[in-house]
Amino acid sequence: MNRVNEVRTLHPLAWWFWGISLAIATSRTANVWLLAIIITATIVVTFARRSNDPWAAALTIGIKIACVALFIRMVIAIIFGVPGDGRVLFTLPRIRLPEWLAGILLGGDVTSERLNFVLMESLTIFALVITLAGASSLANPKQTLRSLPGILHEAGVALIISTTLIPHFAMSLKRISQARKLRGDEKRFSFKRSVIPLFEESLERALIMAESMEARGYGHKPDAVAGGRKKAPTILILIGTGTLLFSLLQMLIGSRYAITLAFSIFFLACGLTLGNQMNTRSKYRPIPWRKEELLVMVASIGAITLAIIANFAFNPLIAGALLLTCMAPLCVTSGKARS
Amino acid sequence: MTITLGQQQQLHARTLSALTIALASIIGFLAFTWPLFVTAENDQAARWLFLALMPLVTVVAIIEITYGGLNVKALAFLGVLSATGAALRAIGAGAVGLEPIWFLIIIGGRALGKRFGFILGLTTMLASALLTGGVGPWLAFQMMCAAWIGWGAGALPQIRSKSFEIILLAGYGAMIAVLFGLLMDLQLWPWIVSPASSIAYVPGASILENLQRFFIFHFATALAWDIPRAIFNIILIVVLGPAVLHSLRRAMQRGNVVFNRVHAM
Amino acid sequence: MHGASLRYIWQGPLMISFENVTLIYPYVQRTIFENLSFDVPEGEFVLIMGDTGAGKSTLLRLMNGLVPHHTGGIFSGAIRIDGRDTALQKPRDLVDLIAIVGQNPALGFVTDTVEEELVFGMESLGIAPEVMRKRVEDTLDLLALAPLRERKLTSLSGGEQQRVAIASVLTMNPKILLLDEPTSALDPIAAEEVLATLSRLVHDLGLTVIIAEHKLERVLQFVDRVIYVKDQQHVAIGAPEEILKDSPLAPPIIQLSRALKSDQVPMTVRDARRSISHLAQQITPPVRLSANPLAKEILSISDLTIRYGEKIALRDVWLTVKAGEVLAVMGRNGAGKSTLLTSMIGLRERASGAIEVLGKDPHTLHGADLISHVGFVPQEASDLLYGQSVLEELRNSDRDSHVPPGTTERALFDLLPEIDLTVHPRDLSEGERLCLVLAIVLARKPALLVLDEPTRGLDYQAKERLVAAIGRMISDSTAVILASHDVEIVADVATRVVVLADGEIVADGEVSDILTSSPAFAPQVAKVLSPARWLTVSEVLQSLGENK
Repeated sequence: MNRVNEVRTLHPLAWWFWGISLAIATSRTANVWLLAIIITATIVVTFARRSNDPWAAALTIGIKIACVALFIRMVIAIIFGVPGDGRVLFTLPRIRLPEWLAGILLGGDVTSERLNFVLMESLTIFALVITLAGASSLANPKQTLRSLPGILHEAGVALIISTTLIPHFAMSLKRISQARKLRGDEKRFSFKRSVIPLFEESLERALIMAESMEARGYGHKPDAVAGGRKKAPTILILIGTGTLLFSLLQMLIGSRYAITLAFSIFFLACGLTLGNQMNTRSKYRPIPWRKEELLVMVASIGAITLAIIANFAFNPLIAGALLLTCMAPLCVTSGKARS
Repeated sequence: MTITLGQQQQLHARTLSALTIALASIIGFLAFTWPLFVTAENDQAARWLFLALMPLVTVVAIIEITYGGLNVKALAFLGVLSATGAALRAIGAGAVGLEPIWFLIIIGGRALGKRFGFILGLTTMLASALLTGGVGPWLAFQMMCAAWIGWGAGALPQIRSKSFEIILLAGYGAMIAVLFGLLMDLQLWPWIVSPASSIAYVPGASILENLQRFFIFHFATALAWDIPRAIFNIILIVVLGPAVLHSLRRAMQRGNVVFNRVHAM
Repeated sequence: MHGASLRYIWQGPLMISFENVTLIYPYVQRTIFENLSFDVPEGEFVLIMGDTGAGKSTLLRLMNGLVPHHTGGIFSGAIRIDGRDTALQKPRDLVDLIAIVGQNPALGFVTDTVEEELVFGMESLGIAPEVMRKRVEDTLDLLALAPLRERKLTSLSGGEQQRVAIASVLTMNPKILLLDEPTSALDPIAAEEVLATLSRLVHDLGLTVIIAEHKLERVLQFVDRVIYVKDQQHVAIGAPEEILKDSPLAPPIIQLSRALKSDQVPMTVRDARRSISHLAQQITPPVRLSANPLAKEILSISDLTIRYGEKIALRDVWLTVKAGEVLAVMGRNGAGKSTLLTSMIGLRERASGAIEVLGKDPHTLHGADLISHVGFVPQEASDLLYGQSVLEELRNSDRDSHVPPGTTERALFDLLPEIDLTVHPRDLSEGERLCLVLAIVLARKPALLVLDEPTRGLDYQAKERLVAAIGRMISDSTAVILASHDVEIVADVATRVVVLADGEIVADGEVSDILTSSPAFAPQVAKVLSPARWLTVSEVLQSLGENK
């Protein structure tokens, strides 16, 4: 197939790498300007490159959610204020809470400094929501599932089945509610009469699907790996999880935790990699990981680094470089993402 | 009647993986509750670390249950049931917490066992989030919550009487509706409540004091969602529960194979 | 006398051998097969025939081990597939040898595009990517699916879906292909396509193909051998002529041959034209009663146009149906049949035009009022069912239709005298379920009964019941409309046929005019005895009776 004239998009995992990297960059900085850059870059790239598929609406939904969160945050900060210095904008009546809620203040002066602080600080949350929503708008979920590493194969298949069936079941629900009319049912919606037929249909489907998968060799294990597999990775993952828990407890009680944390991540990584190598399935026409994807990866890591550096030395140069790295996917892709 | 996940000879490996899942769940629980007892110096670290580690432990839990441990039938049921849940989520429209998704996870976990309930909770949430654009920092928290709900429904004591079982499940449904609201609020708390307000958590303060602040936040914001959700769960379980539970068990009934080789001459 | 003595004697290489197979399903406490033995040689096209419930599907699924590995059951005896014992190997370990395509392949699809579906099995087997690539291309060519490779599975027609399902198992290079009712949901042209494909697989690739099918008239001309499942103890295997000589199940041409007292067993229309058509020279077709032109008008559609977004589903349709008429709506899939039918109950938004049932617009009717005007049986009849038992359904129906308790039950007993009311509706056979839905719909005695593809998955017996039910329901104040691909049933019950193409009515007339004039819609009897205008065997029998 000729891929030259096709719309160039990225490997779905590259989109996710980009989104998650920007989220990490977000977490590493509190600078309002840097956050604004990350948010702008995400929105520009996503709106320029998303397709018309249902999941492409994720960013719009994300922006809505983030705005609602921002609003709630402001309202809470206004109602449950902490007294502080600054120019008073308006004053809410102070409500006396019972004795046992001593530390909590309701109402009182609202200062512009406080609102400003809350708003600026909310940008972090805003950016966090937007970056992930951007990635999920751009990455085709089905292709994402198909590109998962082998260790997630089973989960991936279950999710492929369900993402394939969701629109189908939504249509079935419509069909069933029409059918209710045919029995002379006058109610507009009835859970019993809609959910039960849908449920029966889905169970029947599950049984048929299980047979069809079985009859196509799903779950077939070559003799070599049939016995004794999975032990080593399981143990490594168990150790990793245990150490992880230990390090988190250390962190919570305030002692040093960095070394145990590093160990736990190491064990988990080993376990997952080992488990992944035992996978016996093959992949048909995997989506290629080209130099464009590599470039986006490098740029994303660059964005994280820049965000960290900017904490110490912020200047317009760094801000410009950050914008450039965040926008990298825009430069290596063209047109709307293909569904 | 539970789906037999995995083979008998892998029992040992299953104990290990159950242990891993338990540890992952504890980490998950800490990820919800850390603001209550975090120390002042590690406050920022805890905030970001838990946010980053939650997806990781969720993935670990998924792998531990699915990798080589699900037979074809369980896998097909998992896919189809989580699709049904997600389709129902679409019609529930999330209005004031009226989400039939919980009903499905509870009944699924009940009919097919706690291990299946756990993974059903995870995949149902994930599938619907992937398709409807619900991916965000909260997703892993929602998934873990749903997984516990499914697990719990399977772990409830076995009851012979069908009507008592429904009463038990309805009570459970009401309880988890409230608990889910509580946990999701707890997860939201450090993020949505600015430190510039008097109901924000105070790193290093006593658990009791933080709890007090949290409950004010919870009552002020989310309680209005919990009560309708609980009532909705009860209604769904009482009205639809018996039929759906029966259908699921009927579908799973096709069980053991006996190969009688004596006559084969 | 048990199955052992029915062993077919064959000297060549055996592909499938059954040895004293007995199967019991523990949950239904029923013996499915007892002491069954037979062999199937390599490279043949084999048909499994039998009544619904006799165990055709079970026999098919026994062959690759889905029964009992997947369904449970008590099994004794031995089944060997190319020498491998199915008791020792799971179906998933036999995929390189034997593959099965289920009754409704669309329900078994795991992914959502053609190409992904084709590789699903190979990926789980861990076949190398280069080999996969090659096999996909080969299979796409073999089944003429190359133009569809990137299409969504839901956008495919029934015949295409069936071919994709076949392709999705062929990629694993099996030696045996099993198909459960591959053509029953298809229109005649698509069915022909699928069967021709299968026949090519047998002839070109040397595959052994075994199909269970009840539309015998479609498949008999292709098969080399027939397995006839009479009941749990009697299974016969032999050449088609031998088995069909005196089997109670027979396609119209063989029934015709029997009616004409010929001892020929024709397999194809060509055979029949040569061997038996001359026997019908003396008799003339009976005159079909046409509708009374003065009868009451039940349905009138004028200038109806329906759009789905940009696409026009129906264009300027004019149609009237009078009392006493049975109107068959025919046409290709996607021609607008379902849209036309559902518009009669007010389920479709009209772009223009008017629909009236007994002078009332169905859009304005609701609840019991609607169902006393129009009774509608949708394609997925079970959408209407949500009860936990047949009895519960009947009671709900009485309540919904505001009729005295027991009305629906009586309607059901008219259709199905021996039905167990405690059964879960989903455990009924396809035919029984249709009867239950029909009873529910008929409880309110609608003036117009509309049936959308009622014969999908029905065997001859269930079809006869349906024909009888329609016959009973029709009177001088009622009319029936049915959409169907099944020319035989249309020939049996309809008084008038409307043919739709691309949302327009292209033909409207008497059954005999329409059915005999089009090669795609002509029933077998008409093809054999043309140019005389015969449609069904019962007409021939009736005329023969009159002649005597």
